Amino acid sequence: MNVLEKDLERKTFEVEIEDKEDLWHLYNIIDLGDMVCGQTFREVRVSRGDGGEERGGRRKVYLCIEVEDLYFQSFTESLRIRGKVISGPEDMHIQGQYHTFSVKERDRIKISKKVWLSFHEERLKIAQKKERPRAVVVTIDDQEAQLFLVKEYSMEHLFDVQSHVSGKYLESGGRSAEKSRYLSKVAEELGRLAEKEKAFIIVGGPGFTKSELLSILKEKFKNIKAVEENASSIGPSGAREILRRGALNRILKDSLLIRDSELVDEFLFRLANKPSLVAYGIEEVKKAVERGAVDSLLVSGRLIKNVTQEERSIIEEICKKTEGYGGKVYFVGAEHEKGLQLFNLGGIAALLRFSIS
Amino acid sequence: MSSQKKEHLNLLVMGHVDNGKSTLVGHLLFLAGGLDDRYLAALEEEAKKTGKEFAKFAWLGDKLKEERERDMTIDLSFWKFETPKYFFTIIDAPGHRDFVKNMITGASQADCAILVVSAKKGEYEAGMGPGGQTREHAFLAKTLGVNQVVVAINKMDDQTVNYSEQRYNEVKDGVFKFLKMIGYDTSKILAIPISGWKGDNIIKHSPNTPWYKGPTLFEALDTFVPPEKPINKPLRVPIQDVYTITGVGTVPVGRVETGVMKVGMNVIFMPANKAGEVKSIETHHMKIEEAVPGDNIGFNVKGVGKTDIHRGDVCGEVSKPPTVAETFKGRIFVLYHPTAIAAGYTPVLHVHTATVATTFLELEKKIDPKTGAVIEEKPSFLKQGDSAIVTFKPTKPLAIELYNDLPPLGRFALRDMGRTIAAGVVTEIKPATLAK
Repeated sequence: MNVLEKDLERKTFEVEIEDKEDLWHLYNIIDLGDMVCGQTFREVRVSRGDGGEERGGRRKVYLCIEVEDLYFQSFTESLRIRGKVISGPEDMHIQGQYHTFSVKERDRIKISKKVWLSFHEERLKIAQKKERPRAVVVTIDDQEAQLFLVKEYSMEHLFDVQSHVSGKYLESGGRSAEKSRYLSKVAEELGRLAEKEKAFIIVGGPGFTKSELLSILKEKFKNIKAVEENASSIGPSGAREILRRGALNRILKDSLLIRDSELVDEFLFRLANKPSLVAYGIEEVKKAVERGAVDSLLVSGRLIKNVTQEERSIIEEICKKTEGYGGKVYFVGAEHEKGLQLFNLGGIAALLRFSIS
Repeated sequence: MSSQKKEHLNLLVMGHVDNGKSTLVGHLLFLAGGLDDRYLAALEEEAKKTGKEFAKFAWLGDKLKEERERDMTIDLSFWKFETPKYFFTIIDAPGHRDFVKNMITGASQADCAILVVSAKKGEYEAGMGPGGQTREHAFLAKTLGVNQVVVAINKMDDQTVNYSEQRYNEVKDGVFKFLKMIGYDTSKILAIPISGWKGDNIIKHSPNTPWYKGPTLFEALDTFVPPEKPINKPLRVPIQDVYTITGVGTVPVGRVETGVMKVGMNVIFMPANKAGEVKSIETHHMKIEEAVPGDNIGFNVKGVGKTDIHRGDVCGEVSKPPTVAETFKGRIFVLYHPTAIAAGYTPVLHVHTATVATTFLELEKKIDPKTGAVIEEKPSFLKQGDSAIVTFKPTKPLAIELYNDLPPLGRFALRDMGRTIAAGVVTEIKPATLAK
């Protein structure tokens, strides 16, 4: 994301979208109630002789809206921002009417926020980073290989490869040939992905298949960056295990996904073992914040998009107070399993400095 | 097996890695399985060449190159073996924690089990430790319905044990305490001091253990009781493996859990949704016309390709196909978890031969593990020690049944981070609508 202009006092900034990930960051930075301005297309209605109206084509205009809703539209790969028009061309008389921006790559857009918190700043900084480290995690055993693309804030399940390798029950002879074919196929897919996504490869899983895959990978692709890591199962469960371990941490330094996972894990751990050192749900968290007890505040990104205006204000207040007392606010995405658990527990939780009864 | 005079039982051999399961199985087969002397001698030669003389028995089952190189069982082996009373299929399972998934599919097919526990100093302790497989395997076996167990206290010949009665009692008491805790009736369980390597108390009473008055392992196996065969229930065969045999075609392999399979039947595999006609059925390389619950079979199906079906699919009659769940409710007990569990949690579910990542969709009720009474409706989270009703959503299509209907396909285990988290039974199913 290119930040063209930034005015912290007025909480206003203008950006240029460089790629799809920027749309994601924008989704997290813009809140309901903010003002968004930009070039857009508006349908023109022309009055007919008989008093009715008809379509008169589209006109490129500069509009500002007050945000009421925002969401991703996957087939157009755009971020849709909907709201009431605050200002626009005088002759169109569209004040108060609804308009939807469809923000895509290379668009420019100006945002004026109602509330500017530390995590908004953090998101903007991350969006501006030029380097986008990625990793492809493959969890593999003799039966199946499952591949995941790990980005800063999410882990996407790409696809699976079945081995169709038989067991020991019957002598079917072709077992080692079948296995070679399987490992070669997986290696090829990994080579292709490493190239396309400019990603580091992490090969994980139980038993020995991962080591075999790694050898073949290094043989086929001399310059590939790949390491081995232990995991007790394959699939998303195994991939999450790998997230915790060293290799990924080094590659994806400052990864939001890893940070989010660790925060939620700490929350869940305390919830089961040290319940007096956590608070969750708006009421409990509010009380904890007012006593200055909150060390880290976890807010589910999905929660913010799903509550009433009044509740949003309360949450914003809680965030501001937390920072006022020297605590840190973290917005945790709900796109991964840990974030989802946080959302299902009420979407807001606090790790406390000291226990409050 | 309906044509055999003896009843058939599936016997699982389980226990912590390196406790001597494969060696015991190999030795047992050698002594009573009618194995060729020359075959064993050839294996011994081969083993000696690689400096692994001790492996000569284990290599009967550990046939894979990787298994021999690393001295460990990776996948299940199936063997046939007879005692005076029964005809057994022995399922030798891997003990290493990385291969628990394979052990579970073995346990789901077993009627009874031998829990092999090494008495060697250090080895017993490791297996019974918190992350040890002696514990985990016993728990998983109980979860999956294996109610009959014989404990084989192995390596009695080891230097650190020296056929000591005291050590035998120490190990026996420790293991029994745990078995009782997970629900086994220990008054009905036999514990036999053996040496899988030397042969003590396997078939003949050993002079090295004069203090032991109980049965030999062989005799103990005959105390098992064959379970009831649910012949009148719909056919269900969870698939363990799929082979391509030259001249025959696609041969899926699995154990008949319920119902009867006959040559000529029209069957369907779910959730693969592939159907075909049964052309032939074999068990331990013998052709049979009909297979009943308990039989481990390979069967040729016309019209189904090798890559169409795989481990985890369930075979049933076209007229009464296996149920595929969109979501299901289960009653679970959380055996272990380091943190709280909230909706959204997605561990790995193991049921019959299937392994699928499954999400805790909604926590319905927390219940008292002893009485079943409801403690809390819609709890926000669960933790270790809790018993609960949960709605689950498998991340991939899964064939599963109600526990009250077809128990072998309604019992499951949940695992994550290399540990068994919980065990449960299926209480309700919302079936999926599959595209034809």
